[in-house]
Amino acid sequence: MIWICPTRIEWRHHGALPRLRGRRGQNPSGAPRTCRAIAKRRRKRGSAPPRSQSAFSLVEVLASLFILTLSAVGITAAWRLADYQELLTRADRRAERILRQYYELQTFAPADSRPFTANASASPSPSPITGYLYFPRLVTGQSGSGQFGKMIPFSISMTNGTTGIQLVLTYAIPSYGTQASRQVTKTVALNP
Amino acid sequence: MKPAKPCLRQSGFTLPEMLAAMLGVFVVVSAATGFLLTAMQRQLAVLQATALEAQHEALAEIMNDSIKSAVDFQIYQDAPASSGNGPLAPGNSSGDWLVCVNQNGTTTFHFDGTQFEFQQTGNGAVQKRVFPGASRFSSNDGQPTSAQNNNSTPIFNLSNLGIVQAQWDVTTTVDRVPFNVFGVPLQMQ
Repeated sequence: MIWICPTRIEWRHHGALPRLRGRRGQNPSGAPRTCRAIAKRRRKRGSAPPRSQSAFSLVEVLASLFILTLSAVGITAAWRLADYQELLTRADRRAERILRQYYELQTFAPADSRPFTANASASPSPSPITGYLYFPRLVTGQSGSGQFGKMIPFSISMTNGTTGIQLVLTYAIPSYGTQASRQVTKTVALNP
Repeated sequence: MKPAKPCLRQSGFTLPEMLAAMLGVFVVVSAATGFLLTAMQRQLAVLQATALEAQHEALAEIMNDSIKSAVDFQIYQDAPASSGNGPLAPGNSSGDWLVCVNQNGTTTFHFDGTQFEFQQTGNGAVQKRVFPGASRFSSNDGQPTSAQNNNSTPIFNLSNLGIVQAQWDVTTTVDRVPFNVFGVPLQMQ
């Protein structure tokens, strides 16, 4: 009992089209071909209706979600790394600028206006000058006093090192991932 | 009696499938677009901040060089009168105008509340530049200073020992950058 679906004609025969016989709504063998009739015949035969295979499986959906999540995590990590590198570059540039300011002041200012006394001993200055290198703009609603936060503290002191009297600027860069926070030191030798 | 419709088994998607697929595509495309827009905005903000900071770094360098090489200088609270080729008129110990005279000509710095105006006159040529994004120095924060600071502190100060100091803040899109320029003019060194 084979009938030819009118919507799917296979052109395996190069001759004339297969002729459809029977009345409208019936297959060539005369049996009704409505959905209800087809389902009834299938129930009689005991066969399950064919399932549509055009949907994604659960594994495919989970795999695509996993890939999307990995992509999001990767992009976010790349952003964080770029921000961190930018922060390091900015802090380094500002540290050099501040050190240059103090160098100018310590070198050219009158003795009474210099930030450090000339008779510095081998030990660091007892009262190093401290401050911050980075004042990030705070997001609205974030805790903190004022509109800008304070990050990357630094301190400047004058020491009597092996190369003579020098200004030492030390600042701590924040940790990132598995990298722990570390100290960065910049020095400039003062003219005798 | 109306004839029953034939059962047409087609291999297309059903409406719920299409809606679900469209919703999924919409969510994914929206997320990707959001990522892209956010990345572009962040990059633009960082670039603007870096450019603005670089501009004021250049201004600080120019100011430092002008002060150190000045054979005559004055700080004014108001716009100075033109002195021609003669010496500068007596000024104040602090103000928002700084005029330096050196071998290259006359250099004028003026802070108008939101930006710096730089003008250099020499050999008949006049060079003007504007440095936006500046504001008055708001806090000490470890920067070297020779005077008490508050919101009404003028930009330029002259200490009793002859040190010219300029302090200002630059507010970028991501942070605040304090600038502090010191200079001891030639006649004071």
